[in-house]
Amino acid sequence: MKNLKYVYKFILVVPLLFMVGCIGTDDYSDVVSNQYSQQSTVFIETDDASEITRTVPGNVAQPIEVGVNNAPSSDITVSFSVTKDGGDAVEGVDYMISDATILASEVVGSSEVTFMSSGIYVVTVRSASDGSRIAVDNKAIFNVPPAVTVSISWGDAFYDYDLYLIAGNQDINGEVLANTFDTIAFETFEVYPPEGFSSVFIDDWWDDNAGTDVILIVEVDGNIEIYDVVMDQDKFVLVIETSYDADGNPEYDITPL
Amino acid sequence: MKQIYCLRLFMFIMVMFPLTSFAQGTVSGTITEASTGNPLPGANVVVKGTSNGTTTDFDGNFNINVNNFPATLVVSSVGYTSEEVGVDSAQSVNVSLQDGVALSEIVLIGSRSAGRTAIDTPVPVDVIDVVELAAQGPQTTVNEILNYVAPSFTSTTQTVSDGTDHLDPASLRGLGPDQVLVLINGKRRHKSSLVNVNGTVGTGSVATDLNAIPAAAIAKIEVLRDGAAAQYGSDAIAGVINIVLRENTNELNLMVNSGANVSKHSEQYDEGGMDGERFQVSANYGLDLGNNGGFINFTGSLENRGATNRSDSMQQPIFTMFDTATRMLGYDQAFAMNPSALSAYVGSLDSTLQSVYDNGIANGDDFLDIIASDAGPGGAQPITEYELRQRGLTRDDFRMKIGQSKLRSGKFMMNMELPVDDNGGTFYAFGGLSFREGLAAGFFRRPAYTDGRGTTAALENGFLPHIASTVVDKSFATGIKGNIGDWKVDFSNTFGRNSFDFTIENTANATLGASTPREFNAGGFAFSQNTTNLDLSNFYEDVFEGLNVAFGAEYRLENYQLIAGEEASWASYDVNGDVVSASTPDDDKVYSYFGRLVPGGSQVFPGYRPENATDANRNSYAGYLDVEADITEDFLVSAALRYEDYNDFGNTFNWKVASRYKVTDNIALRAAASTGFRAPDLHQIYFNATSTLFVAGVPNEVGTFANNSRLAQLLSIPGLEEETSQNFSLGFTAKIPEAGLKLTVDGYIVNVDDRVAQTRSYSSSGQNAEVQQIFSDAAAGSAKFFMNAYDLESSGVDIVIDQKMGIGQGTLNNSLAASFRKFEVTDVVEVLGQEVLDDRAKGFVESAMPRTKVNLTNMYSAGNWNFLLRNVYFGEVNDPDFEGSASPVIYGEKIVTDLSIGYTLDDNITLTVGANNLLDVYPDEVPTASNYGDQFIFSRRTSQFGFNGRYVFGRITFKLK
Repeated sequence: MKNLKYVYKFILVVPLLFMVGCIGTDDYSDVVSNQYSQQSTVFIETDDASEITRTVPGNVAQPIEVGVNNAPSSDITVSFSVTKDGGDAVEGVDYMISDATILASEVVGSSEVTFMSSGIYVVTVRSASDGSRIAVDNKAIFNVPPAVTVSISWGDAFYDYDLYLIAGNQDINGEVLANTFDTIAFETFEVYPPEGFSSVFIDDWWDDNAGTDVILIVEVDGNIEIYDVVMDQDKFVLVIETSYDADGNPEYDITPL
Repeated sequence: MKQIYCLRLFMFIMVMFPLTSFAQGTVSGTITEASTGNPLPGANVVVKGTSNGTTTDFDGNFNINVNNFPATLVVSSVGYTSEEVGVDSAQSVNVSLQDGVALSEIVLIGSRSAGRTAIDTPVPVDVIDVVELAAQGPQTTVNEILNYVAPSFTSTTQTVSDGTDHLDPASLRGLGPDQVLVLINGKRRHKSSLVNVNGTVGTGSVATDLNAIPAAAIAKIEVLRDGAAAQYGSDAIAGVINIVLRENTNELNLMVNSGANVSKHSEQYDEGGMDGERFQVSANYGLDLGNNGGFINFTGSLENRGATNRSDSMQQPIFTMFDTATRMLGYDQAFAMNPSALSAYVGSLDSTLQSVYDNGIANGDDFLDIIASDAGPGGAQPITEYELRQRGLTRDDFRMKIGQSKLRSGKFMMNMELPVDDNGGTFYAFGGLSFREGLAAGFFRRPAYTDGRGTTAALENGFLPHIASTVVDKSFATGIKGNIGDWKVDFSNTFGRNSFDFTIENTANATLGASTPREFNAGGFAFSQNTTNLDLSNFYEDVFEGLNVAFGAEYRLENYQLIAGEEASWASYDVNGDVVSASTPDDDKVYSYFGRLVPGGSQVFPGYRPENATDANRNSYAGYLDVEADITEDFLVSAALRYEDYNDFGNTFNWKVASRYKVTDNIALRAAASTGFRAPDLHQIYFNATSTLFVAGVPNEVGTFANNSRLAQLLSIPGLEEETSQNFSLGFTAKIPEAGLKLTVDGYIVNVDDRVAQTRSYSSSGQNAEVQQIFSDAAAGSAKFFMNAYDLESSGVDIVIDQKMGIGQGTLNNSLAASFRKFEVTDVVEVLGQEVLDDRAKGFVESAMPRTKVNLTNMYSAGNWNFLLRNVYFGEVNDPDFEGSASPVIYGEKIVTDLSIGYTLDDNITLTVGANNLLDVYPDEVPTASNYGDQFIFSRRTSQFGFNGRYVFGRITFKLK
């Protein structure tokens, strides 16, 4: 009987020990991994939601913004790589670009790129002066479409004709996109007509309305079209309808008037 | 196959072992029924003072070995008065037993007259001997015991359902958990403070917390399967559960129970192992109070229940490219990169990632989609796979906890009576205190949550938030009963309080980023109820064959409190650490890398806000008249009327008539008709849980709005009123003494009108200008409410067959209980042009619980051995998640087998081993495409028999006198 009491007591104590022992047992724990690093990066700064190609005119400086994921303690110079149509682009021939500078304690810096001929350009960060920074190859993509060169010439410099490209279909009140005001017998400009209609207008500066024969030359990507114009008054002489294909390349539909 | 062979061999040995025992000095004889002279099979014959016993065979014959003469044989049988016979030597003895009833057969519920046997009541009542079941069966809590024993009672443990994980919603006859009235010793038990608002069976209802009562304190449970609101008041639509506490004295009953789920899916799906460890110790002891039958009985119980988990490796996407960048660069440094740069950077790290990037670019996807969408060819998740490798993690590290929650509880119960005079005057009291700590997990906040709730600023691998519930339940009832003249008088007061407090652990407030606390006090609820009763009854022996008249009154006070949590548990903070308000600039709010407004509050369970806090009261009074007459010896009629008046929604009047007619001594017909009601719970009226979202600087409230809120008024949602019901039942009972068999068959129809439910969530989107203006006026983005929402038509048949017979030297008790039912939700109310219940909500009511349940229990006792074999058939259930879809999902019927074997070492110690769900049966699996990446492999929406698998246990029971 005495032994039995010991058994009873033991049976009573064991569960209590068990209950107490269960307090604070691991019910959960954080999922731990120790594979972390703290790399620094430099990249093209953009708000673009998706990869887009910007169509920009040649010979016009385009801003390029760069960013870093943590502010540097000293200035950083960022250089760029530029490709054209999938191959190397030649600086000074195809494009001009300057290094960007990100000042100490800043996270963004800027530069400009100018494209000098038509083509698809991809600008990426090549490197940073802080060599520990990883240059991310996210891209700024530009489509520089071929320019439209419009020229007029006539025989007698006595007359003065000026050349305009006006937005819209023969809309005399439209925005002037390009013009020339020379006083010689030759006027010319290179333009990137915007999507939609734009019109070439020749202004007889002195309003001579002399019926002068004027030669109108339109060159697009090496292809030349020549039109004869009789300047008996100020007039629209061409309508250019510009559209873009799926790759962002412009197509010009030119209609003489 | 080998396992099955071993199992059969084991069972054969266990069955045969007692039959091979033998002794000397055999007494033989025949037991007969005194009134008929027919032999009485299944009668017990025990040598007094020993555990040596046997039972009579089909012809009433027995043989028993007696070691020491002279001896006394005790002959007993259910329904007959026991006899003692002296024997001096090996001889033949014939005994006739007089009709009578055993104490445990007397039913106290359903009638205010003297107790009747279950087979004589005009309405169906199950009497469950908890002492026996708790000793022999695998189940240890009240809900579990009832689920496996009581026909038409259904209850399973829920998972990933907040507080409901720790309070099993229970259903009688498939009706709501709140449509069952629970009594303790005949006195109304208070309800839980928790209203179920998660997607489980019983959603929108307030249940009574049966598990707050230690099973060791219970002598028996009576389950009245019929409407009884006219007798007992609100809630008794589906029926009444009366828990009768133990009264034994001078006897210490100590039980130590230990078990675990040893199953093919334990620990992890298809892995096998052991989990769900359970350890329970309980003690029950009583003392005599005075010399007039007074007693005080105490029960203490401690239980530790381990968690189970049936999930497999997480197959959902775990990481995004942002997380890769976070690992390589640091969180803030990755956040500083634009999506173009970040995706390109991550793509350059690995060829698989480069493919993701290149494919995304080729498809013209947004950079954020490339970063977030971890979708490779053939369902591959290259980002997750790469990141897991780099971090040295596996998909197992991101498993959820799908199964039974962890629970630790301590319970105490007291029951006492003290006679105070010689005229039956008795002071009585009972009550208890229970304390439970539960710990349940929510959804894993994977880093791939693009709205930032994964909080990778603080926890790079996400986290599995846990809800720790502290449930405290207190109750105390006291009263005095006695006789005044010929009248029996009982005056009592019953108080109960249940509180739920939520602490959210291992979580984060995502708007606080890396500085988030990891633990939050999220507030909670408390519900208190005080009921004062005065009951009088008189039994007139000379009127008819007996007339009992009872009347009484009840006054009830209720209080519901919703307690706010700490600020960080509910608030959204801006980047400066200030609580977001209407004046907070948009730029100062916290957004995820993906541009989404990061949700505030403690993840998985945002705390209750100060404006949600509630302290509401209600009172009601009631009066009743209850008459029960034995018109003849065979014909019983009872009628009850009850009036109740609530100060918040008005009054209700209910009635009930019931009758029983004995066609023969052994066959009776019974029928009942009644009306019923259920007062809307205070929880349903006042519960609200809203959060504020600022849209363009305008605060928008979303969530559950109180039924009496301004928005509810603006939308013309009527104030909550009582549910009403009409109950009809018709059945018959039969007993065949020659076969030791009792049979009850009861059909029923219960029609419930104006059932209270939680509505679907409404938004103003797509509504007309007037509705949009209403939402705008109330600054509400979306809203749901409690309201009287629909009608319910329920019908079914319950069949109970009990049989007792002698086999060999033992007694075999067979019990078959079957329940067949069907439901239909009708007349669903429309709000804003839509029915307030969606298909899933209807599914919870109509088909998420088995419509057919059959229980066959065989208990065999021989000498010191006890065997229990139970097979429960759970009918098919429909998954509510697929209700209304073109391809509804049905989980097929299953049979769950319990087996236990007990051996009494001497009169004091019984050892029991056994198993619940011995054959390790699981419900059908959820379709793979819908199982949330192999997490919810078994449905959490249905309530069939759970999905813990095989549970094996061992138990030692001590009885010290």
